[in-house]
Amino acid sequence: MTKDRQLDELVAEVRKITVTAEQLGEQRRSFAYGNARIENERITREMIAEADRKIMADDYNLYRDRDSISFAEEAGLLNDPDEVARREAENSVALFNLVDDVIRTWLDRGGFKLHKGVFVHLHWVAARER
Amino acid sequence: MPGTPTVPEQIASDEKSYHKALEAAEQAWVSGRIDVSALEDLLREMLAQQMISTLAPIPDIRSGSGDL
Repeated sequence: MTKDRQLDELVAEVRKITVTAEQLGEQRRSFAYGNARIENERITREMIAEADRKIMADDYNLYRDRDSISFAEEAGLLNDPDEVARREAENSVALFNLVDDVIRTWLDRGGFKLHKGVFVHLHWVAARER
Repeated sequence: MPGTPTVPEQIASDEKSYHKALEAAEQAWVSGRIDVSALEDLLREMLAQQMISTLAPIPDIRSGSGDL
C-alpha cells in the first residue's frame, strides 16, 4: 500500500470521530502555539493559554461577522518583545478561529471558492490590533 | 483534521527536520528540478501523527493484561 493510500485511509477513519469542545480547544492551542512559536521563540504555552482564554471570551464568528467587527486600520507598533509575543499569541489563536469559522460557514453554505478575500482577511486578523 | 499535537506544533518541536526538507526543495530548484518530496514525506508523517492520536489505543497483548 502506498503512503498516500495509507494517509487517505487514516483520514477516512478520523472523519468518523466527533470532536468535543475540549478536544477542539486542545487543538486550537496546539496550532496557535506551533504557528506562533515558529516565528518567535518568546512564545510560551502559558501565553497561548492566556490568549486563548481572552480570545474565546469574545462571542463572535470572525468570518461570518467580519463586516460588523471593528479593527484598527493598521496594527499598532509595539516595542516591548514580551508585548509583541503576547500579541502574536492572541493573533495566532484568532487565526485558528478564523480558519475554523471559514470552514464551518462554507460547509453550511456550500460552493466555497478560495478567493483573494480569504487571504486578505487572514492577513488582517494576523496583523490586527485588539 | 482532529488530533494533537497539530502539524504546526510538531514543526515547532522539530524545526531542523522542517528546515532540512525546505533546503532539499531549494537545492533541487537550484539544480533546475522541482522536487518537494522530502517536504511531502515530512508533512505526511506529521499529519498521520496528529490523526493517530485520536484513535483508541490498541491493547498490548504482550503485557498479559488484556481479555483475549
